[in-house]
Amino acid sequence: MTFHISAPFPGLETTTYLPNPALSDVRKRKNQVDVRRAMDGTMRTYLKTNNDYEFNYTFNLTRAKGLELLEFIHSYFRATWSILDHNGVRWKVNLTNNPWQFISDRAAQPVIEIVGIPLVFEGVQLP
Amino acid sequence: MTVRVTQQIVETLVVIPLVSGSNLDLDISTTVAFAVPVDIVSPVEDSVATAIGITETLIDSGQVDVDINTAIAFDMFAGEPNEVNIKTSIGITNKAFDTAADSLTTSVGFTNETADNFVADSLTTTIGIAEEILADLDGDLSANIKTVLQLNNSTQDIQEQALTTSLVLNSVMIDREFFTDTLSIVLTLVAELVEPPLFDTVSIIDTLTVQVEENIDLTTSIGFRLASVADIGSDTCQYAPQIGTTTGEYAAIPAAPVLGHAILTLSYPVGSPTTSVTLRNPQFGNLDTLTYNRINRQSRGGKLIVFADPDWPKSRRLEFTVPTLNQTQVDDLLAFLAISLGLPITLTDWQNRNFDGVITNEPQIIQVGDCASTANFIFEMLP
Repeated sequence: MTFHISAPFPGLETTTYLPNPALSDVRKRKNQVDVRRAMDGTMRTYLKTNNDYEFNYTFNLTRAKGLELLEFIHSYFRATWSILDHNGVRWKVNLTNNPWQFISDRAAQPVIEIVGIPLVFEGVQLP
Repeated sequence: MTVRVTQQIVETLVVIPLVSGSNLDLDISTTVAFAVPVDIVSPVEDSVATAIGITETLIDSGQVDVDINTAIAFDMFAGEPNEVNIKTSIGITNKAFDTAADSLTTSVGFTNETADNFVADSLTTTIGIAEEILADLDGDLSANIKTVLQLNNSTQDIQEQALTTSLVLNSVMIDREFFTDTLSIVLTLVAELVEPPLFDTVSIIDTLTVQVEENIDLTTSIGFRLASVADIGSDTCQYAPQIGTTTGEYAAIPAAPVLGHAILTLSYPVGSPTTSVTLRNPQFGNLDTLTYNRINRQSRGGKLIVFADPDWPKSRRLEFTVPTLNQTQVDDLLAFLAISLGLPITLTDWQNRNFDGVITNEPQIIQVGDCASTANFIFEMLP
């Protein structure tokens, strides 16, 4: 399974295939829990629910694929994206981190170098 | 995407004022149908409703026979599941002052002229046909309703009778592109009054309602091209975006750049350089940063809203560290910066790509050893 990103959603124009993200990726709900404690020690929790998920991925790409992703972001950074993650689940997301930093942090074979880029998405699962 | 369109045609077929003293003896046949054949994608509901209004003033007594024939013409194709529901109903509204003096008899008949795999049923219930058609089939369904209104009134009563009949065709055509159907009602109204009325009016109004549910082919608006299985194996490494039909709202992704090998070189001025300095290639850890103005907001309900105007500023910045420069390179670099700092220059990177931009920092040159200095650059590209 590869990682697909497509944009703009829903009238998809372009799709880029990425390798699966590095381990230590994060997925979490956007719920907020507010805990308050009264003077007598009674604890009360206030929950603000949100159906959105937030994803933190780091992709380690070849230089060529990194340039492709850079151009993809350049074209569609203001659009909603559709991603098919490494688990085969499709999501409608927005890219929420800014700026986007491509870090050429190490050499690799057979390509010249590996480019790492962290991406943060926020969105909902598509049926 | 589904679009539902409702078309309604109302036409008054006949309005006949009757002359005092004459018998009502009418034979009206009419057909309500589409003026032209309509190609319908998966029709939801077609219906024909006919209202027969009989207004009688000072009628004595009599009998009104109404024959209503409904017919549906259809084309079905083999191998396609079809579901057709036909419901014919008749309603009679009697607003007579002397209701006890009226009587109503209705006889219902139904004829099925279709092939064997249709099921005939009484018209008092809905006829449902849900089956997979085994062979191409053209045919007709027809239904006859015979209604007899028996009027028996005193001469001083004012009568208002109304008959309504409706034919409803519910069609669920699955995987069909075109479905042509015609609904028709043939009315035969025969009224024989025992004693002539002083004034009668017979009006027949047909209402044809067509609800069309169209499935729009989404492939016309999606230019998304799926890669073949053979493509996918290398797509995660090579510059190979899958580009479909674009609307022009977003910038198109350019063709793959040609990457080569070169040594980091700075040239000034842009276009026709007169001064240049060649350094070493930077060490790993260099950054290529995109910074685009964009708004991220969350509504009170937590909904994420992202917006960016395409004209808002965008910047792309390269940050790199060039290590182990010898004293000559350091001197050349300082001389170059003296005339070009803050001005547009051309940078040739280690992959032989040229960028026009500005060095936005005063590079720090750190001597880390004998004949070994390190310089840090921030280079912002021109838009």
